[in-house]
Amino acid sequence: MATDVATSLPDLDLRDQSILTVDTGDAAAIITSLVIHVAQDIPPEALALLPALLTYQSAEA
Amino acid sequence: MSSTLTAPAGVGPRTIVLPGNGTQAASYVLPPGLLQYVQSVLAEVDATAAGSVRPTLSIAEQSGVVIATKRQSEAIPGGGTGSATWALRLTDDPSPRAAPLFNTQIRYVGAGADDVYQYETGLGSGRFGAGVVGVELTMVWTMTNGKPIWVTVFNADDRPLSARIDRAIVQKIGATTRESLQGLAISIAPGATGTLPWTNHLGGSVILDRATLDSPTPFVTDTYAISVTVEVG
Repeated sequence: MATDVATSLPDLDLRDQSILTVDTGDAAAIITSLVIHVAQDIPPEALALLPALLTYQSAEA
Repeated sequence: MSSTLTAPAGVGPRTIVLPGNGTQAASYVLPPGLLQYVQSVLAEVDATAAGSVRPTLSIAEQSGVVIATKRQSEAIPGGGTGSATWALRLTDDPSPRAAPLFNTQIRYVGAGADDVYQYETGLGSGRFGAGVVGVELTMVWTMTNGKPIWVTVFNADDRPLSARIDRAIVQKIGATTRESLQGLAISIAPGATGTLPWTNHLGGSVILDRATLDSPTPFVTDTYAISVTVEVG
């Protein structure tokens, strides 16, 4: 019988290379898979270009 | 003229799926150089060879310093499988489940520590009447051996109360009720443990053995539920 449990996720502004760890607390209870969903994955380098992109006007416009 | 913006090389997918490594813990390190906002974490758990578990998510910064931990408020019962989800905008279970009046333990009776099987849970449901608070605990487990079990009901540390076991029913799933217990008194001091009296008992604990249940089928593969209603005066 499968049991699904859920709870809230701490809403934290995480830096890159932060570590997410799930531990069952029992050596006999094994984690068979881990799925992490993220909302954005924009590199800082791309963000740095955004001002330039937003102010760019094509010559064809 | 149209153009298509594509994600730069090195940008990961929005959903990361990692296999387990056969242990109780699994970790994921957010990639360097990316801004990622974690929305959910889902762990699939195989507890078929374990007791009930309440997985914990811990979040550490790059330095390794743990900045948050969050344990599931409900358990994945031992002997089964399940999933544990942490997600934004989910609310925790409302009281009284989050602050149960009673906890429960079900144990196999055995001489060694390895024989002990525990199932802990909060309230399965609650009902409220005039001057009386009734709580109902429902526990389901699958017997993995022929050993008898006993049931203990104890209250939370901060809830002084006296209680009366209104009824306790052992039921084989998919079959008729096997045993019931009506109106037996029990007093539980704050933080103390009270045991359910039963017609067949050992050491003051409840014993639900094969003879009590009168199971016509092999005990080792049957699934039973215990429903305990406690009235708090």
